[in-house]
Amino acid sequence: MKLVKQIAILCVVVFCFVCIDIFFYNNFTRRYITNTDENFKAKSIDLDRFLPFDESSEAVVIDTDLTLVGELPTIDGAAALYPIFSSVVGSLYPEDSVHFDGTDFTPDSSLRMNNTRGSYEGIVNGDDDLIFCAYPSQAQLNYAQENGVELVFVPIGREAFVFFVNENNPVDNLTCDEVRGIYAGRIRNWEEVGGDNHLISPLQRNQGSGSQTMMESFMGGEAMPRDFDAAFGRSIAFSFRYYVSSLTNYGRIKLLSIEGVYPSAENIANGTYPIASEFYAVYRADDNNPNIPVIIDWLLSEEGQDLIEANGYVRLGT
Amino acid sequence: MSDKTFIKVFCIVALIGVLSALLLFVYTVKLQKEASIIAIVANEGDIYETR
Repeated sequence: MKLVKQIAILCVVVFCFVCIDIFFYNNFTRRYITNTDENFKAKSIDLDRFLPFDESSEAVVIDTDLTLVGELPTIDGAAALYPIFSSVVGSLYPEDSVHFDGTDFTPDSSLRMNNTRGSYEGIVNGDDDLIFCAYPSQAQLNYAQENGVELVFVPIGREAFVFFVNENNPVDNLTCDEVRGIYAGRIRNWEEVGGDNHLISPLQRNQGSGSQTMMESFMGGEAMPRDFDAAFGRSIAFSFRYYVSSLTNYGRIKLLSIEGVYPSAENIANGTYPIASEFYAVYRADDNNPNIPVIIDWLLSEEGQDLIEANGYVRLGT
Repeated sequence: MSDKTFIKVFCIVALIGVLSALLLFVYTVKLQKEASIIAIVANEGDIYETR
């Protein structure tokens, strides 16, 4: 009898630990496992998908009479804008200016992709000549100032800042105040904005990324605390439209309307979508490379703006 | 089974349980650092569907 009792106790202990592990796996671990859906993976921005001069590349090439001569500026930028600056290189640069080792660009390549944080470091340190990014964070501006570097920002196109949730989330629309309330921690349950009774898990990016800087600007200086219990909830996240819009074709996530306006290209262009911003070509004021103003002028020309639009972004002044 | 033996077995079972939970936690933190926010939101569909 005693043995049966002892075995029963051990079984209960094992059962409890198994339940804890299953609960933890289902509610936490599973949502962080890399998505293996082939369609989903294929739509993420891989360097080799938009590699200039590659036969299978999806990079748009614009027919132009412009030919760059002399020293070629090293181009870098944010992942969300990679299709654009890859197209610029594909349209204007000679083929032997791009060197790709199958995984990343080599140091002697005129095209690089070090994302927003790496690009701002690169332009300040002199590793890059021209970068394509959203407006920098205060820390990135300070970094340039501390190093005595003056940066010139030229708007070259417009892009919407979007919020998205899982496709099963019944919420389709939020107001700007609701979004700010969620990220400031004032609104903590989806029920408060017309959804199910679940906690809200507001996801954020790492400091210095283009979308995190944009979000901080959208919050107007209000803090965005990271609550531990929010990890139990249903997520909301933010990004630039191009980065996520193609993914919505395969379900799983959906973009939210803001103030009743869906972030379609048409609504961004006509100005009804409320959170759209310009993105920039950025260079050092003291960089004397003669091709930088040539590229900037071309980007602002009809051909350059066609390139912006052909890549799925919104041209200036529409 | 004597009480002494039972306590030993109990401690070993509990230790294995705690270690497995700890390993799962460390594995989850590692995944969290590498996961994109898009993948996290997309993966949540599985959680909705099992509820």
